[in-house]
Amino acid sequence: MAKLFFDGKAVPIGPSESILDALLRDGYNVPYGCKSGACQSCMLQAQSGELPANCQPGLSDSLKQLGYFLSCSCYPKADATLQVHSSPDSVQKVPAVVKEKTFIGKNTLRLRLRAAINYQPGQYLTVWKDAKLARSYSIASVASLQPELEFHIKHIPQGEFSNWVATALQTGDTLYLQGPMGTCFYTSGKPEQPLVLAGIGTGLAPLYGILREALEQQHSGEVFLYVGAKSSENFYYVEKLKQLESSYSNVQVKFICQHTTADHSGDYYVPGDIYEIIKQRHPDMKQHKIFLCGAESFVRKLKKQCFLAGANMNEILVDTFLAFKS
Amino acid sequence: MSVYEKIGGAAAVDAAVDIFYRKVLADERINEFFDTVDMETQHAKQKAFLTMAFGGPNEYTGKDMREAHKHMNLNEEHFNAVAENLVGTLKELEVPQEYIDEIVTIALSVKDDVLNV
Repeated sequence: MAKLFFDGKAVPIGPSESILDALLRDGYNVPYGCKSGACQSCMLQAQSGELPANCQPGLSDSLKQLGYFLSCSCYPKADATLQVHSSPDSVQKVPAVVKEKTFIGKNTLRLRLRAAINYQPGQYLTVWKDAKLARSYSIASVASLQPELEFHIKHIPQGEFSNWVATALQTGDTLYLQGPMGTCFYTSGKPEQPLVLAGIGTGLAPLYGILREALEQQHSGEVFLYVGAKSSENFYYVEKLKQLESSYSNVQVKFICQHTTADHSGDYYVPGDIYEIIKQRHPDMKQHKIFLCGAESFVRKLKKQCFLAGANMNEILVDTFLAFKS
Repeated sequence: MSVYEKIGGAAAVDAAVDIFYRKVLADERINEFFDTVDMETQHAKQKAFLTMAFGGPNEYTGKDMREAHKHMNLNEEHFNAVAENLVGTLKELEVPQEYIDEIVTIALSVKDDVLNV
């Protein structure tokens, strides 16, 4: 008999019973709809244990890698032990020590922290100052390349959190992290697939992590990175990205500055509209994997554009930066 | 065997949903109803709709259909546009005509509820 644990409690499951049916029979209030693997409303996440084949139909590669599955279609193998959670995001807070704090652009801070957290570059963590104040930031680092977690924080002088980081936080201080969360990260398995990465402002943070992870995993298909900014003074990591571009023949980086009219021949960036430039350069995105990071309006507009250009919905991954609302 | 099973069940819905959603988003007659903030939610709704239209398992009732579409002021042209995109999607996937006919019959069976007539 398979062993099933739901939020740590054992749940009896019959030999030809789905996890959803076992949970419902045992009195758990699990949401569900079609019970046939189509609507995805019964999706749960396995923390450990081997999932049987055919229980992840229609899920994106990143959801599969994180252990998400459709409980209505999941019939555990007889010898399996599965730990399943109702709230997929880990809620425990982990301490993190500040190792470095530097301005890497006019308004952009780089924060490097040491913490015992497993993550995929491009996921995000909630960073807690104390019990009351927290913000979420995307991860720009790759664990195999550097021991510290790296975040890029836009400094907003009237922003409670970022201004505290900029003015008061010191190397050696302890913060608390929650997560990781999010599905916007690189998954191996299709090394030849063309990748399009696009972000505005500190949307570069997750993209930088995703790009380096893809290269670490020896992605051989073309990788196009589009970094947008309202003003050229908001660009950062220009040298690092140029270096990656010259070290890897399959990487192309474009810096696009939206509000500029002057002549920029000879500059590292081009003036223009990031949506138009991507549309012209990638009229057909049927085969592409796409990563979009930045403000909600940007992500929403470009996601639709890429989908209409033929991209598969499951191949468009987004990290939406939500402005803090008090 | 239902037409849902004959065309491949949930896998057929997965194959059809992106094509169908792309078509309705590009269709000026109806895209205002589909161009919502959250594409994931809208995508899931299209999956549920296709599962129903293909004769698959669903828990829609005529009352649900009426409620869901009540405030949209839909007319015959809107309904026909969706039906055209549905048929176009199935043709693109090379679904045999007899199955397409069966699916159209299912779609037509909810027409009055959707249009609230």
